[in-house]
Amino acid sequence: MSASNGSDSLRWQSAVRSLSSRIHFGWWLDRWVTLLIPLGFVGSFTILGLRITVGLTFQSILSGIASGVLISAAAAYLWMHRHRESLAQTRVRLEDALGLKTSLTTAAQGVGQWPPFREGLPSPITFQLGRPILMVAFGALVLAAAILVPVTQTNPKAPRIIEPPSALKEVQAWIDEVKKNDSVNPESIDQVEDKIAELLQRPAQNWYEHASLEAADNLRDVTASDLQQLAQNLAEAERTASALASSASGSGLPQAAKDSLEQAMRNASQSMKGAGMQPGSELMDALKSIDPSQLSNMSAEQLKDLAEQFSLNHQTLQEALKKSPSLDLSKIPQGKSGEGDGETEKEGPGVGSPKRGPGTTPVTLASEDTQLNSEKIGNLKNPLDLSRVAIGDAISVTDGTAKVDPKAYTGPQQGGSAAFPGDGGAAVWQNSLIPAERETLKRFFK
Amino acid sequence: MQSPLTDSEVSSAAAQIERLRQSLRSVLFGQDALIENVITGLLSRGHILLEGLPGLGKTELVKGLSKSLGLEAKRIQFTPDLLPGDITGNPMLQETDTGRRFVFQPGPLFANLVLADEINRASPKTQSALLEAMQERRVTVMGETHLLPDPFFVLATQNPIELEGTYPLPEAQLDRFLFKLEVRSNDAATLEQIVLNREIGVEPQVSQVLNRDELNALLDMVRRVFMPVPVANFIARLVHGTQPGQPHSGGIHYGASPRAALALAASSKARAIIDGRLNASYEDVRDVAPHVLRHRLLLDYRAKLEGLTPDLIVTRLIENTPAQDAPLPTSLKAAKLQ
Repeated sequence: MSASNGSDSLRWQSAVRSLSSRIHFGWWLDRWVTLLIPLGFVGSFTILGLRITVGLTFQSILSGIASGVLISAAAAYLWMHRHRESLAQTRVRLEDALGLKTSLTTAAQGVGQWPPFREGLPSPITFQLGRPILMVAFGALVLAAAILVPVTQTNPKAPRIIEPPSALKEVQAWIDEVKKNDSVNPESIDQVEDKIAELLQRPAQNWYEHASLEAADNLRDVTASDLQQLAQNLAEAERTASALASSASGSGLPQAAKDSLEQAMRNASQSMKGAGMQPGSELMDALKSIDPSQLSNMSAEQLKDLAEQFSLNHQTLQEALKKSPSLDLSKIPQGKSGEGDGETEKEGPGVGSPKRGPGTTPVTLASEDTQLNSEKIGNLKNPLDLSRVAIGDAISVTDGTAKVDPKAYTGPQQGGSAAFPGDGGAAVWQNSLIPAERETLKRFFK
Repeated sequence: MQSPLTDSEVSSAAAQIERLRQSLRSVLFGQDALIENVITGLLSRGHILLEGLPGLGKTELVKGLSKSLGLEAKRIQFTPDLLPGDITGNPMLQETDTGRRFVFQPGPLFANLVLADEINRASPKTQSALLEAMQERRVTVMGETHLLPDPFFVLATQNPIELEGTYPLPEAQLDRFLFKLEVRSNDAATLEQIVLNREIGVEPQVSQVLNRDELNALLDMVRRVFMPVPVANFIARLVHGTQPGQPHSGGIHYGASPRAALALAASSKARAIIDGRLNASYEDVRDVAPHVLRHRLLLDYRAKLEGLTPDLIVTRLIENTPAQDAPLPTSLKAAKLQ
């Protein structure tokens, strides 16, 4: 091969590679702009969605668009790379367009020589950029619309609040109320708060699991029971202290009754000291300072002061929890104002007890039998739901006489029968007797 | 595999062909394209069907060709009463040294160049007698096979008018013609040249420019012309495109056969060597495709109703069959630079 032919070979092969590059660029451009339209729509919807939900900065939008463009460009390149045209195919395009009569292919296959290279070789292909430009512009327009259209951003940053179970909230409310005054010992309050904190320490999403709810309900029931027990003990202690005070002031009581009162006082005091909810710290100190065995030696004033303290603590507790309808302490009778179980205007004897109120006590301190009131019949007071009424259900019952219209239509009548048979006996027998009976009657009247 | 041609061989061949062309030009005025195509067919070892009106020089062309090449030429005037034996030859009872016996008397087919004048006027029986001769270059009479001289070419003529009493050539026979060439009427300048240079009844003087060996050497060289794979692919796609059901084959009832693809390849090679090239090209294929395909396409009734001709269909097919089959992207457009 001569030097000039070698040079021609290189230059022709270079021209083929150049043409091949342009064709591959054309394929890449084709594929890329084809991807741009769906990508533009997807991108615009994504941008709109993100703008509405989380809000986007202009910089992040631009970086997102740039990423999308780069990814689509890479995808188009990969596709083009898989479907790339071989140099032999491009060579055919070139020699056919230039009218080289297959001389390039022939020379490339080692037959004959490369034709002399032509200077200023015209390109056998021309770019038609109208469609790509149009598609790029359309994609950009769609994205610009998604960026510029005004949207109202929602507030997705607000944290998701999970309310604690209602039982815990209820207990917390009770605790908050009783903390405001000295109606319950702070140590008891701390214990309950620790339990609340322990339950709330679990992940919020687990608060409404069956076990958590059960634990919360249990805590509420126990706390309510403790508070009620405390109120009960306070009321009982107040009444006992009042009774002892009145006894000490001179109203003579039998020794057995006094012993019973002292025992009841000791029991109430002991119960308050060992209960889950202990009374306020001041009362608690007072209770600790009293020797239960020396109750009989206490003066009337001391007992009266003690009863006053019990009453004050009871009132304070009631006052604190009066906003909690589920924990109604008002039903627990006050030592002074409440009516006792003694004789009343009702029939039968009073049950009598240290809890008795004004009236004559029958001095029967035995415990009362359990009264289940099982003879009562509960009535359903709900109105009848007509949408669910079944056949045979009585909708209403009224009392009164039946109203019968004698002129009302009674159905078809047989021909020849009398519409008003009247009161005469003839008509009666004529219409009611059978023919044989009629003949008998005729013969009788003859 | 045959060795590829060298540039010097091609140059020498091109010079010989040019001499032949000039010789034929002195016989037939103003028919350069016809002469080119006849030489192409000749170098492709193909038979040629010439179609044209009487008096356009078809017979003169064949005579001039035989004289230029120094080949034996015979003419057969086909008529309805022509029998197969009249062209192939018959065994004749003859007195020989060993006694009376049948001796085969070769017919007019036994020549290098046979002019089958008005071939469509012979009966199908006689036409079919040409089948074996054209395809296998031999004749079988009464079970005895006789080889025809080498080279053997049939140049048949037929008249496109006066079709009464003719027998159109069957497809099988048409397929055996490499080319079907149309002999067109001369223009005024050509006619003037004819008037000035020719006289009725006077044979033109034609000198021999090639001998039989040189012609055979040329024929061998044509076979050695390089056929690039893309060109072979182009030929294959072009012929396949004539099959009914292909995108641009509307109006075609039956397409071209594989023999058409071989004819295209051979004639493209011949056209390349005429052009002084070592290799066949797409341009060669496009040049010879109408002559190779026009008599091999059977059109359907719609094409006939619409006035489509095989030439129009082949032109459409060539326009829609690019050299490179791989499509271009839509953002690019091929530019025709020639």
